[in-house]
Amino acid sequence: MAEGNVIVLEGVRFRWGRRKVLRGAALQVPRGSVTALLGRNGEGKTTLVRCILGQVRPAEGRVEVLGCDPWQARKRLMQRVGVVPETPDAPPSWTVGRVIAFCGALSDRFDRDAALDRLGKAGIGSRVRVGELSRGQRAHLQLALALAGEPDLLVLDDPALGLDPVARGQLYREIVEELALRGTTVFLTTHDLDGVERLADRVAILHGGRIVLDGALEEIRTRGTGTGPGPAPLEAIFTGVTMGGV
Amino acid sequence: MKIDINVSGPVPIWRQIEDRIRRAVASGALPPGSVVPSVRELAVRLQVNPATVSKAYRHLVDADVLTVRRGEGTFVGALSAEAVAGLREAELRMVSREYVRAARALGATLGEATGAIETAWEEVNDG
Amino acid sequence: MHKALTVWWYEVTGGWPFLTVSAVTGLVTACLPALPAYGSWSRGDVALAASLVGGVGLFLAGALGGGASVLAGPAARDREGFYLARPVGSIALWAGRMGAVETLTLAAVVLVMAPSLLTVARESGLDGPGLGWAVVVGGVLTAGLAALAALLRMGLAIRSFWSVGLLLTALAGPPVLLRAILTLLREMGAPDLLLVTPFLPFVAVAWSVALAVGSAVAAFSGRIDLRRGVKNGSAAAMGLLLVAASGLLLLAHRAAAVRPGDVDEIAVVSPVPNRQWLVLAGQVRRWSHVWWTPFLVDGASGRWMRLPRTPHWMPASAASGDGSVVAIGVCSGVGRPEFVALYRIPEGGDGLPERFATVPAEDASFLALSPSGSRLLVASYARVTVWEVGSGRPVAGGPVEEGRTAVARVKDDGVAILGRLIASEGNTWRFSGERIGGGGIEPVWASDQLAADSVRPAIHETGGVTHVALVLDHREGGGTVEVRRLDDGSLEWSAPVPSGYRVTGKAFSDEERLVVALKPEDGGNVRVLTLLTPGGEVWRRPYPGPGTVWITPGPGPGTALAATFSAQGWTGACLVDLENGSLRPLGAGFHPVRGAGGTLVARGRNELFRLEPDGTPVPVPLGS
Repeated sequence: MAEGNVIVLEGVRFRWGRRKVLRGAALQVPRGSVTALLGRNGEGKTTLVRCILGQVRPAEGRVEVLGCDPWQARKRLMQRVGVVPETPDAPPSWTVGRVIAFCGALSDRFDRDAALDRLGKAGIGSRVRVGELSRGQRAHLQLALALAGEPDLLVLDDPALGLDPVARGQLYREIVEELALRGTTVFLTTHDLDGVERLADRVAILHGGRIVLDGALEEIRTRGTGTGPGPAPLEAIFTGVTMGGV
Repeated sequence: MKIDINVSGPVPIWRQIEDRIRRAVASGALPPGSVVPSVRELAVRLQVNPATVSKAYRHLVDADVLTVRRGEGTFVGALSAEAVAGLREAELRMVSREYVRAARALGATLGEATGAIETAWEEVNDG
Repeated sequence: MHKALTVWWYEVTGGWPFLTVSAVTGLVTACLPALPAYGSWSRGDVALAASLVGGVGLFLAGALGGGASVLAGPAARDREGFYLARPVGSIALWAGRMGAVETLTLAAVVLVMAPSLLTVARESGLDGPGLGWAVVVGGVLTAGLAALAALLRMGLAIRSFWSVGLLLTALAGPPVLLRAILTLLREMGAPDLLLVTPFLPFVAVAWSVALAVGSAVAAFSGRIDLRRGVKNGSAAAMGLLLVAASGLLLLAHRAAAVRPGDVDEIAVVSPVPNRQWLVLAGQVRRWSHVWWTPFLVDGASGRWMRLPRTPHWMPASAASGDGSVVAIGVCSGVGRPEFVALYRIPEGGDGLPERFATVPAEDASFLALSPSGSRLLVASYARVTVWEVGSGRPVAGGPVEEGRTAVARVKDDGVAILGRLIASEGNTWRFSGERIGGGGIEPVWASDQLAADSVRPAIHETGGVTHVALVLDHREGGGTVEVRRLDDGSLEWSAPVPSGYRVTGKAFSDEERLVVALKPEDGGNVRVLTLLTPGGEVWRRPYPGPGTVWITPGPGPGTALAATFSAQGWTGACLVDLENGSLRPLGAGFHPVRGAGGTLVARGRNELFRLEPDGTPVPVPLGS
């Protein structure tokens, strides 16, 4: 597997109208890693994800994903990136089969049968309308769509949002299987610290428009907050960083 | 093989996995030559990053506790009786060190500490 | 590109409501060109109005039927993320945003507009470039609406000021609406809009281009951030419209700055009887565009007043016998005669003519006024109507055999006689005298086949009786000149055409003397003038050629005016003395002008002269 960083952000600044959301964020996501981005609500995690996916263009700074500028080469890049968004956005009136067929028509490498298989195992038939699926099932669908294209990078924006523990577990199982199978680089934003501890080997914390912490999970935990012996739990670190500064 | 992991505890997950397997081998619950779950299976079962499991297995392979046979799987190594004994001893020493640290933190003397062990030996009854 | 189609197809084939909309639209579209005319609205007008109403209605119905997606908006925005996460480019994104309902209703609007535009174009008698104009305007307008629909579909439609502005601009702009408004105003007698109609094609194109460019800018510059895109697009569209409006104003000013003395060529001058005023039409050539600009000019002082200008050709005009009223046909911007404007000419002194009435007569190719100006006769290719000027209502007339009107006399009680040239198969013409009596029109007499080289009759009126001189073609060889009364066709006298020659022009000096220009039958360059009377040929003399000899009655009795017209222009203008046929050249550069009956001549670009009976030219000031 080639070395290098799958995602590089340097000095990224972004504003929504007057409000400065990102003030010089810098981040590196190495190949093969599972990187979790933590941050309080409204800090700009989704904006950062949109910058990475080429959906918005930062006012300043450099964004590089799989060696390309996502704003310029978004179309090409999306062939190799799987996206699981925060709110499921497949058109509610379409059936599952139609969604899969549609996405298959758009991607060069899209394994429709595998996707249908995977969903079938999760109990989601191809004739059900997207609007009738439960939240967890929709999350499954999004993940199946994202994975069917055999992506080099998997981006998940708060995938566990609103899912009950069972659904969450199922979702992680799927992700883990994918990791075991192909070692896909994963970048996710989340509040589920439990999930972070299990899955991530790198953690970044977004606070005040900047990435204030970015490193291997273990290292961060070992450095800790100095409140006690041994590695600190991630929750403590997170709270410490976002409430009191590092 | 049953492994419980504590994700938010102080001990890294890979370390916990490694320790559990070492303990299982040392106690004879995993006899030499028996098969252990693949990295993938264990990762899925525990819902942890396969890289984490992979790291634990790497350490175990380095320490000759596990052997990988291509195409067949991962097995507990054929260890000599001395090696097993040595493992066992190493485990005991590690666990007792933890006990001693805890006892000392409570201000106990050696006699009190030993006495507590004896009492516990009577009480704890599983095989 | 095929991904854009894939996306669009998936969006569009959503379900039965959309297919129903398209089927209905197809039916409606097929019926539109068959709509009848209504009142003074032509079929084209009706079709356009129906298509505007129908198109907008379909659009809204589709939008509402699609779950108010245009008005509600969120569905499009939600879907946006879905498309953005796919490997699709901007065009596919756009296709996805456009969605099914609006696409099809938009297609409906387009389909509905197209045949209507073509109907209007055909009715205007447009061909070639004119039809091309109509297609271009229609195409650009459609593209603009398509782009606009894409923006609306993006769900920002009713929510922001910019979008509302763009929406209103798009719906209020099209020349369809503009034309309907102008028609309405015209029927209410609004005077000042007459100058606008020639510029309608420019307005249409400018509007459509602004809309299309603005929408394209919005769609592509705001690829992902739609708010910014709509702002940019609206700004671009409004900016372009401002530029276009300024350009139009500048163009209008430059064109309006033309004065009678500034025209590039004086084409037609008609003196108004009993008045010092003249109707003058000149050709103006600006930036490879040619206009015919009519004026009313005070022949004594050079004061002038502009009449509505016409592109492409000369407007039809007429003056009443007493000189109090002048009628002039006004054409639309594409050159289709739309109505007739009537001006009251002051008797003398310092008054200016003023427009006091309009008559909604369309396709006026020939006009005639009754002696007091109370009745207006309007002749077009297939219909002749007599209008009452005061009320603007038709009072008599009817359909006629297709042909050109050469002469008409109408009386204050509405009775009229006409002389029309009617073509049969091949290039054979005959002259038909027709009468409008108590309401309808009926043919009274007809001539035999006319000679092809001199179809237009010479006309002479005296004592209330009108005579026409016709050249008949006889198969046996040679031709005959016949002078007949217009009202009943009775023959007054005739004379044979000198053998070996064909007639090229003719003019009455009085009812018994006809000056005729001849050219040899074998096609030589010799030109001959001859005087024909009831007693036969009186004299014959050669005339310098080559080219066509133009003859009109002269400024005084017993005279005629002759000049030659060829590729080199006008040459050899002379006064002809009818006693003996002697020629007296007028001077270098003079030439006759049409409509003046020999009393006015022009020189050079735009100098005008009145001829004294002895042939001395007196300059007419033209206010340059």
